[in-house]
Amino acid sequence: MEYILANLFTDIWNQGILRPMINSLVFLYSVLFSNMGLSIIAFTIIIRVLTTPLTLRQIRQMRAMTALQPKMQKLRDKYKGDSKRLSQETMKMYREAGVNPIGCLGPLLIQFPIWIGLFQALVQTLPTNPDRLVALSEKLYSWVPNVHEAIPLSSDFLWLNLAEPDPTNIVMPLLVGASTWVQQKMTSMPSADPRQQSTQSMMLWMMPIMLGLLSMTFPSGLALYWVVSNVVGVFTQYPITGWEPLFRKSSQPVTDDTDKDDDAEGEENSQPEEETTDDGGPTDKSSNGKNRRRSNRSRNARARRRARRGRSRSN
Amino acid sequence: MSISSVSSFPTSPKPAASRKLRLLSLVPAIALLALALAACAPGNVIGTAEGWTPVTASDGVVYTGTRDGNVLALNAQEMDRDERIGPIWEYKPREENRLGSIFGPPAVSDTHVYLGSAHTDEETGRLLALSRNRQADNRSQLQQDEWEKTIEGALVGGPVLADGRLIIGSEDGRLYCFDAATGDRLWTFQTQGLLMGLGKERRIWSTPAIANGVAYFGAMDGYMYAVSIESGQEVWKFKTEGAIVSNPLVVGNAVIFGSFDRNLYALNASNAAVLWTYSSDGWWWAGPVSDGETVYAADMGGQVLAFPVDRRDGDPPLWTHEIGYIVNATPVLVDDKLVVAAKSGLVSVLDVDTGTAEEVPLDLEKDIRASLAASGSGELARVYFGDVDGVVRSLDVDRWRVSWTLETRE
Repeated sequence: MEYILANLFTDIWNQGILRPMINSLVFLYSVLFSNMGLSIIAFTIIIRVLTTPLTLRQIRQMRAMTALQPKMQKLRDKYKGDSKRLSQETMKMYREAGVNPIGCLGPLLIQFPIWIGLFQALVQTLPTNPDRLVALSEKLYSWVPNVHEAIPLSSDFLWLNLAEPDPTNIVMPLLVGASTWVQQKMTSMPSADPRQQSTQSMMLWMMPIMLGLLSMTFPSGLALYWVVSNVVGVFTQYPITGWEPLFRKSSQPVTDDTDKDDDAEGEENSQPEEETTDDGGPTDKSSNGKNRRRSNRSRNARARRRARRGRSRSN
Repeated sequence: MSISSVSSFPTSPKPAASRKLRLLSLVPAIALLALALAACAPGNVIGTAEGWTPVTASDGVVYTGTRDGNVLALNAQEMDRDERIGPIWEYKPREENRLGSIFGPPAVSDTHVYLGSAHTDEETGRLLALSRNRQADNRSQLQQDEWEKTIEGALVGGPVLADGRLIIGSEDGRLYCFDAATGDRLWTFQTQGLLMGLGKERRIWSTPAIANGVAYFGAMDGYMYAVSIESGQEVWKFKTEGAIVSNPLVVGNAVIFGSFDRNLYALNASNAAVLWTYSSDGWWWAGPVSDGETVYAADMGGQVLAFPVDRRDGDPPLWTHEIGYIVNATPVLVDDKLVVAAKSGLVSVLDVDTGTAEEVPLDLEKDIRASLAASGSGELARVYFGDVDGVVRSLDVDRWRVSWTLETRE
């Protein structure tokens, strides 16, 4: 039974993820000047486009979650010591606000099969020995044009052999780390909870370092995917938040003025930056000039965007 | 796709929902761990290659290069009587002198057996000449009349002998010619190569064919080359639209070979004029074989086909037999039978006139990728082959059963 299940999962993986991925890469290679680097870049962009609905959903969920933070804090204060009740009230609040707390995980989870699949696809499409070439032949679709004739593929791109780690051992890991940090920073939302803030800060540094280290040992083609994916992510995020999150201190929390507007999905009201205070925490209303200037800049930018949207609607 | 989004869940001392969410936040870490493990899995380590256990039979002796990088000489008839008898001799170089992966079949002269190997991770190859009568107690040392050469570029195809010269193609894109007796390099021929990315694809994986003082071989750059054995100069070259790894075959005045462009080509051996082509659904990896009048070839789509050597372009094959599995190993003719081994381990024997299976195929369930070898006829007809697990088998064609098996891995 276990054997059958294992085979079933292997077949699902191979036929559902790996083969389509390999054939896509080889086809893109054949139409993009026989260049595997361009093929990976195009492949990454296609994947990002295909997952755009998930990404947008994630962003909406995140903003809604952020908007609920002050209410959450109130609930915590109210039901301190009664974790069961707190849990019930929390879920009720989410339900009423139409928020799925694990909705943010979708795009993230979908990345992992892509990473693993791409890793295997790169190893298998850039065969360095006869065994791998034989294995590759079994995975190519006969009905996709050009894929058979395109083999063997060149793994050269810039200074990289895409089937092997970056020979400099520093450039791609740095690019991966830096782009991951920027992408995370762009998408992170301020939190009212100091523990969450510290977790966020930790993740903000841990993931870039981890991925950077991994890209020192993984094929540089995978590192290229990470970099391109992050860059696309940053430019997808820019129209929504601008560059402001990049310059926001990670410890800036949100405060409670959601009483005025409980609409968690209300886009403008869910912008956390409007309610941010200084580093002192949720109740610290004192602010320094620098952060106030940033906050003002951000408010002005949003006002401009609102005005633009208003104009376009009236047109 | 923010990873930090995970941490934006609300937290509290010990609420059940939060615990659940925290557990969920472990998923990325677990997935990353799985990714790291996948990277470490043996099958995913780039450059790993362990050879195909190729065999060659000559005068009742079977020579094979093992997955451990050793060379064995087996007395096939003695093994028929008692398979526990073991090899006549074994060359087992010390660890620091290991041969690497062996894919191409050995070449055998009256006095020596020659074999190429691949160190795919170091991108070098080793060419070895061993005496056929080497001392059985000398396992790890080369004798006086033996030699060894290190070559830039892994050796995947096998060597061939022509007038005292040993010719072999390398992954560095060169065809090498050595004096078979001394190992002195006589000439090299550089293939054109196919410009790809920053470099050129030049690898030679096919075993050359020799006829009329010319060596014919295909390369990954898509060209079939004809090179003078005497001078090492190019006689002609012919471009196909795919890589060529198939061993060419010379029959009469025709050079026949397959390409990754899914065509089987027959060219005029003198001037490369196309005599005929046949288009199939799969790559051609296994080399064709011929009895002089008919050519038999198997593609990677799992079809075995027969064509008259003097086929007119457009004529249908004489017959087609569906194996159903990828065929990498060059088949072999023995008596009036064609023995074909599929990669899946399915071994079939076909009637050369009709293409029908003469026996129920043997399912050995082991990958067979190296060319098959044959010896004898009638009751003594045997086919030898190794699998990717390092097992060498002798197949009694007449009785259609495995006559002996040797596990070569240590």
